[in-house]
Amino acid sequence: MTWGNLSKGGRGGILASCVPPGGDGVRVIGYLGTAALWAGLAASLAAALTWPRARSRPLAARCTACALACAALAFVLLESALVTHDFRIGFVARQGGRDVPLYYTVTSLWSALEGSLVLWLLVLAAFAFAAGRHRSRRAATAGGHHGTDRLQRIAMTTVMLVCAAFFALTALAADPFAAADPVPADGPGPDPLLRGHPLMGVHPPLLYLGYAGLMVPFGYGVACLITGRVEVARIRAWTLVAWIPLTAGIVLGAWWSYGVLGWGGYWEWDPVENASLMPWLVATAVLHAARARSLRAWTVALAVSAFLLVLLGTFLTRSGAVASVHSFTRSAAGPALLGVLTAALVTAAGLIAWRVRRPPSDARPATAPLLGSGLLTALAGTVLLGTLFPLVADLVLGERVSVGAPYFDRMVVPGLLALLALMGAASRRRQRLARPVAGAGSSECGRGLAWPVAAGAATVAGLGSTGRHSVTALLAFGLAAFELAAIAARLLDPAVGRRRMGVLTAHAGVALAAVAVAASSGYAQQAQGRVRVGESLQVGGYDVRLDGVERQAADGAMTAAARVVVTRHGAAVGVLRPSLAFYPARGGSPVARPAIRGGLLSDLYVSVSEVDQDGAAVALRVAVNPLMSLLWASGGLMVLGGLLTLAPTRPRTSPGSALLPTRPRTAPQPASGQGRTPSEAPCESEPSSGSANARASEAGGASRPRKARMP
Amino acid sequence: MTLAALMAVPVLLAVLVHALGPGGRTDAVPERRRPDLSGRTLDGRAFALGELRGHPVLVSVWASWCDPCRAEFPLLAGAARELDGVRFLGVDLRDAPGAARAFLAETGAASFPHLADPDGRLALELGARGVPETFLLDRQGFIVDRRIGALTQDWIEGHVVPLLTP
Amino acid sequence: MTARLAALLLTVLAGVALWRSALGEPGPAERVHEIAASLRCPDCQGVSAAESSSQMALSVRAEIERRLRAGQSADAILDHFRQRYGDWIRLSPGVDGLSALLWILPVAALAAALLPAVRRRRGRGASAVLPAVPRPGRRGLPAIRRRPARRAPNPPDAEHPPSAGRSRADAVPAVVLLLLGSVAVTGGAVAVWASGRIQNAPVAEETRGGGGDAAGRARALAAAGDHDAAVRAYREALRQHPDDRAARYLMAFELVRSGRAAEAVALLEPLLATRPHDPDLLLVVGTAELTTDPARGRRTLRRFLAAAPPGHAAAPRIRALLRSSRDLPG
Repeated sequence: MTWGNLSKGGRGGILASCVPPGGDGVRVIGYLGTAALWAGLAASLAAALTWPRARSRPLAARCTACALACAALAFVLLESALVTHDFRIGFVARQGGRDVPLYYTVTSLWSALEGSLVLWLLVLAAFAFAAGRHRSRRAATAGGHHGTDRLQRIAMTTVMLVCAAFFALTALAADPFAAADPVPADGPGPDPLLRGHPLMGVHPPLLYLGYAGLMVPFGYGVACLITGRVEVARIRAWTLVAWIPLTAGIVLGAWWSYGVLGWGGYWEWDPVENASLMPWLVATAVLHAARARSLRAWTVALAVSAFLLVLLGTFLTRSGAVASVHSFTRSAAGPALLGVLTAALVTAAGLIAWRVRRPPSDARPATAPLLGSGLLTALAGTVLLGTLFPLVADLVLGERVSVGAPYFDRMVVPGLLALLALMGAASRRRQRLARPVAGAGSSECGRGLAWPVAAGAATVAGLGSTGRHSVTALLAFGLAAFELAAIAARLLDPAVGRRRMGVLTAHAGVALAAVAVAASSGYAQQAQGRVRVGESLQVGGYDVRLDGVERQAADGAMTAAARVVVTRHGAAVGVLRPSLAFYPARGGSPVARPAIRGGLLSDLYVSVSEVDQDGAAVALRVAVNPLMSLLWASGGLMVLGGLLTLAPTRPRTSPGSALLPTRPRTAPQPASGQGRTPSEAPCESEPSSGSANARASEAGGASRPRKARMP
Repeated sequence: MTLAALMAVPVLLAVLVHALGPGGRTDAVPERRRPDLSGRTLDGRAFALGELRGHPVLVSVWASWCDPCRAEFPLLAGAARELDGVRFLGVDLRDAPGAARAFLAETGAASFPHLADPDGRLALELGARGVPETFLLDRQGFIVDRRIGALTQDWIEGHVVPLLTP
Repeated sequence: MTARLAALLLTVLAGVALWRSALGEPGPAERVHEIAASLRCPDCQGVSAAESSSQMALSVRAEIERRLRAGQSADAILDHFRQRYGDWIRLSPGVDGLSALLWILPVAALAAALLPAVRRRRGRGASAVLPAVPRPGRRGLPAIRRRPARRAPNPPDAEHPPSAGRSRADAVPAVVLLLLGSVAVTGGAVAVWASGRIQNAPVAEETRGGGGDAAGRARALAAAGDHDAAVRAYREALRQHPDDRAARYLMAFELVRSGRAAEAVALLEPLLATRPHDPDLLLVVGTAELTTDPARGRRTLRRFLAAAPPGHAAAPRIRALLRSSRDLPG
């Protein structure tokens, strides 16, 4: 904001202050907004102070609600300032614009740091509120004794401390309500890339829901570490609540970049993308590790680190620490974010070092959850390493090093393929549960998987005979076929409960996503070049002919659209208008607006990168991207699977009873309290469904199967 | 393992604190190197960089389709008039010859030679990141400095002028 | 049985198919794509040269094709680019020096994580034979250390009144938490302080402008409406970086706003001699002069209009202003 202040936003202001006195009325919204942020900070701190005491619970709940109200007020105020173009508010002066369409005016709240912090606060406070309330309902059914409150009270304290930290950060380092000085007559509007696609209204809020939601498992993880008592079920449930919007947000983010960035891809291993992928991988690892009692400590550590990764990702992408050559912005919130991250990191690392011990070596493993969560964690670690490595190289060697797609492709893709195999193998493991004969396990397992293996191998062999394919693509198709066949066979079993169905659906979504990714990255066809009016490009049976250039000025943008006529094998398909848009008020270079004609099997993707002054020629790029619709659909399947798993099953297996088997204190056991006795371990080593109660419902309704096996 | 994790925390934080600092070494030249620039100029004659040896050379990579170039060229043309000891050379990246000549006439920068670079070979030989970009070569023809983005008066005063007083 | 036989047979066939595709030679276009995919597009952000359609990415692809046709190997081509652009241009670092960590660490971490699993699997086979007798000390798996042993048999229910021992046990986590909390808060404060110091260090001209330095404080003061204090802060900023023109302009602007237009003119007048065609400078000086010497201010603003590039956002308003005051002398 050095130079731009004067040469962009400042001009109107110089005149406003010197020539006619600019409208400097009472900035009610600004003062109210700042006050809401400070009040939110006070309420969060008060809640953090009152939650630990059981007796002050009602007060704590009220303070939490108050924090939510403050965040909501700040959100509403900022949104109304944007919509009414109140340029006295600093954020509106920087991101608002009179000719921005209403929809993108609303979404411009989260198109820059200060506004997105307000949305983030709203979501954080909402999750804190929900986590606090969820408790009270449970306590009512459980008879309201205080002992079971303890874990949640500590978790809520942690959660409210996080909220307080973010309220403080917003109020001190990134207050969107700070007065604009000088007050401009009009604003530049949000970044051109952020006002060209309707998904802008959905993708960031969903992502924030996912990020903020991981704060609750973080709180429970910290509470478990402090008390030494582990309740995996609650960690799992809240992680799942966050996982669903996070998954949707990531897939929609990929869709958004496919439709906006104009180069035809959807995932580039960019730091911003990695920042969303790492928490997702770890949250997924939590969901899988939570299935096995032997991995309880691991689950807690993972739940804590998922939110730490959210904080780290926010810091990396919002402070400008990993910006590229062309962006020199360094937000003032960087040090503050780093402060929050450091405090959280030190606390978590200290607690984990204090509490978590390496499990003894004669521990009974649960193979599938262990492999699954281990692999997912290793993948997250690899992505983290690759994202941070340029910073490390800069510190240690003073060199600029790039870590991009080739590295991640080579390191992460094999892990993802292994996950496909694992998911397929785990789908059939239920077979063994029916006949728990010692020693017969592996052969039973082998028979259960014979047909899926045959299906996968047939896919590879069949495809391999049709021409040249890359090894990775063949493996991806084969393993996906294997997994899908295993899942299909499992679904034939009528005794599949709803939760298990959800797990299988989500896994099928992952398999289909693998197919779509392999197809779209390995089999896309494209052509590009300069095309004069009347000339055409041919790709994959399509003929794309430039018919003319249309120019127009609307919504603050000057647009040059290439009108192209598309035919396929001689038959008319339609007219597409990929365009270049330039926003004079915002400056910078023009942004490409690709035109996409979606199809079930493949998309036709046309974009322009240049339009000649005289409109006689354009630089055109045409691509046929196979199975893109499958990719988005697979994201939908994953979310659906998550929702199915989330939905409560029968009343008999309510969350309350689900907690019982995992709470060690309810079980009669020896004094040292190192956990469960080994005698119940065989039950765990058969990873079947998402949790104990789902297994119970499948097994015919015995609500506490583990207890039945207790010696 | 716990110990390793505990060690990792301070290391991570050190990296992050460092990352917040200035990362402004993007303009550094990676390796001491003498670029080999030769080809046809926009007016069609053969030209090689060797012709300018013995003088500091300011090489500007530009294109007529690049708006920041249009903004910086008056400054470049002015510097070419004022700085006697420095030779100037343009590299016209992937451009239509007609548009490029019109650009030079408009900005008054036709006084020094401009190499045509229709396939980007020369820009890559220099190690250019894009347009506009300026490279400063010493009397022996080694790249000693560069400027990514539009040229400024300050940069010329701070980087080019010192080369003139050996 | 048939299923297993079919699976076996098909797996063999699939293995053959994989083997064949691994042996296949890529065509020339694929080789260009492969090499370009491992290079960064020089003028884009985070996209490889294979995907972008920017001019430099097109140039990179053309150069790769030219060199491949000349018979150069992929390594030689990568080296060619590395010489000119440094390691930055390669999207995937080599396996030498520090970069080796990047390749070794994930594999090592995975091995470290899975080794216990394999070992434990063997352990399970053994323990299935042994009677399931709980052995004190090495039992179970939760691996969450639970400090006070006597606490364990106590269900945390309300009907068990908290004993003195238990409340002492409860105090242990509280104390640890308090200690940890203070360490964490100190750590956070140190991080903020350290990063603030780094941000304040003199930096390259483009990267300046983060908050925290005198100029940033001045901007904050200006935003808060304290123009005199902002002027003082800008003066300090100018003492630190005398050639910071942006700070000088903004200081003049603050002077105008605090009613000291004459000082603003005096501050910028010398600059105007060396940069007579700087539109932003003319704009600030002109608006300042409007208060001290309106006729001269209008002249300066007219010079601004002449110097301003077409489309300068302030130009229309200045034009309107000059038109409305045309009847005045000057």
